[in-house]
Amino acid sequence: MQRFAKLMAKAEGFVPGRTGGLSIKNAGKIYDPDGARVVAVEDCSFEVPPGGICVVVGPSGCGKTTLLNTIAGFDNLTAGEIYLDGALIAAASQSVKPGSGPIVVFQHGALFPWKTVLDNVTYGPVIQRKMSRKAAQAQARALMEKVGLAGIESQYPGEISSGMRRRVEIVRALINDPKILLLDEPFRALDALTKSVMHEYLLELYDLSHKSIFFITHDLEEAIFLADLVVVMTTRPGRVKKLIAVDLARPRTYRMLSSSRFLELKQETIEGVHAEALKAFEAGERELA
Amino acid sequence: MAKILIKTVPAPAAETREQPAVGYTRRHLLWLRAKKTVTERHFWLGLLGVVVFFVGWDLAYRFELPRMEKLESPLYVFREFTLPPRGASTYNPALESKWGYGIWGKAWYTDIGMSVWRISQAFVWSLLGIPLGLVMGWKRSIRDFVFAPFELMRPIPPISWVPLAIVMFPSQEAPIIFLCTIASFFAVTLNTLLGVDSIDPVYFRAARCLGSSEWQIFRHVIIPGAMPFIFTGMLIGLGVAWFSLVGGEIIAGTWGLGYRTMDAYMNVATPQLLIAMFTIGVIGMLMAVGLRALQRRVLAWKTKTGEAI
Repeated sequence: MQRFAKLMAKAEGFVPGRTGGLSIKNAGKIYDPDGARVVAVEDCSFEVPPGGICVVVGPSGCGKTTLLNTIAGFDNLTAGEIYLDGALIAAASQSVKPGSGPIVVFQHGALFPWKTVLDNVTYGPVIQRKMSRKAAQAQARALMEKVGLAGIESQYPGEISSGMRRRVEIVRALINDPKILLLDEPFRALDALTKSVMHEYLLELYDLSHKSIFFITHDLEEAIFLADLVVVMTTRPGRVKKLIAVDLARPRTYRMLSSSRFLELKQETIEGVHAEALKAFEAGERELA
Repeated sequence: MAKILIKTVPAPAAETREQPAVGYTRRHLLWLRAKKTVTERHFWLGLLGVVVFFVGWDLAYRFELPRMEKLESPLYVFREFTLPPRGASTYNPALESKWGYGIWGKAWYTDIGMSVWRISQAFVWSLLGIPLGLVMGWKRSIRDFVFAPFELMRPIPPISWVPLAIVMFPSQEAPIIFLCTIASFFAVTLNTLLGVDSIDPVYFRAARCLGSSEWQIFRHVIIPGAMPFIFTGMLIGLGVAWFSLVGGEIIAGTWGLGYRTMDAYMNVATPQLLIAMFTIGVIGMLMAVGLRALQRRVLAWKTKTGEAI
């Protein structure tokens, strides 16, 4: 928390992240609901450098949320290992204890509706007794002011717009200084215009804090725009189809969406993604997790 | 890239939530709201509904529709209620109340006091259902353990508890209160349990990944998340308690509105019967209104989104 505050204080500076390097090796997850084995994820391997943004793209039901759940600790792997900064955090025999490192921003929003925005944002530090309530509130106010969310502290999530709710949820995660930030299709419920603004917002936050980000989406353009590394997954059982390193310069703007390099990258990936989408459509996949 | 989204904005002066828009005090807002209600169509239609009800009753009595002639006219009941009781030796129907059951006598107030006192005690006891429901929702083991006997006892109507209540509680008041508690308790517990079940699992996950312990999840997610259903349970429990009160007082009580209905029946004092019945309705409604006002405050997070409670 203190470190993040210092990072924010440096504002214009570019500080490379030092933690949050994710390494997934042969991860596999098999669900077994009434005896019928469903292979959700099979033999996925890729690496996210510390301070990098990794975006996983795939059709619905391809296992991307399952993968995120195993990193976050809501589920355990049946095969393979996951390392965070070199330390084994998840394997077939052990699962991540939630609260120890990765923090999730959920698809449909998980801001506690019965708490005010300020109480929501200060929830993490206060509940883990990292600081007193007053200190946490002061930090939260300062942080929210810096990211343009001042003035809504005493309102309830039901009273603010959905775009603001997503931003508050991201701030609620960031205030705990997590090693890696996991985002499960967070902008799915927003309209396209708000979504494009939120992309830039997320990237601005990223530029300030340089947290490792693990992002899940079904939108290829979103993936290429945000990521350092795009992981294309096949439809169920989910395997890694393609890894693409995105070398667009940071900070990225919406104008890059029509640049030639962007279109090249899109052309590289779209064949594969579309083929998987077609397969998923014909198989009538639904999201399991 | 120009920083368009994240910029240092000077924080506005801290506004408290209590302060409404410029210039309007709370009292002024209430006055404006009252003025608005009086001009609304809904208000007048509601009032018309009540008036038509009473007029219809009166006409049914006057025209001696089948079975309606045993009832009294509402005007007669109103006179009985509002006029002073008959003198020792005189009785003038235009100026005096024959039975004396109304705002001038002590009996009506005593009845109200006794019934409300019993209901309040029973209601408070039945709130034990809230922690039970919360814990049942929290820990699967406790739910499995308690649910079977709970569901066995729940369908038993309060009336059939009466003999057991009289035997178990030798005092005068306790059987009635026990009866009302039983009735209300099951409603409160079940609704609380459903409330815990209704909480979206994503909130548990969010709380967990932010580092909460089990007890913290109970305190910060389960209790506030189940609150809407808890209030529903309390409203239903209150209503059921009133039903059981009347039954219990008829069988086992002295004084009280339910007792009064039976007593009036025995003495063929129909105005007393009708007054007692109406009083039960009005007081029940007032208690529900009070509970709903409390609900609006506690569930401010829900009401502020504009959903009606």
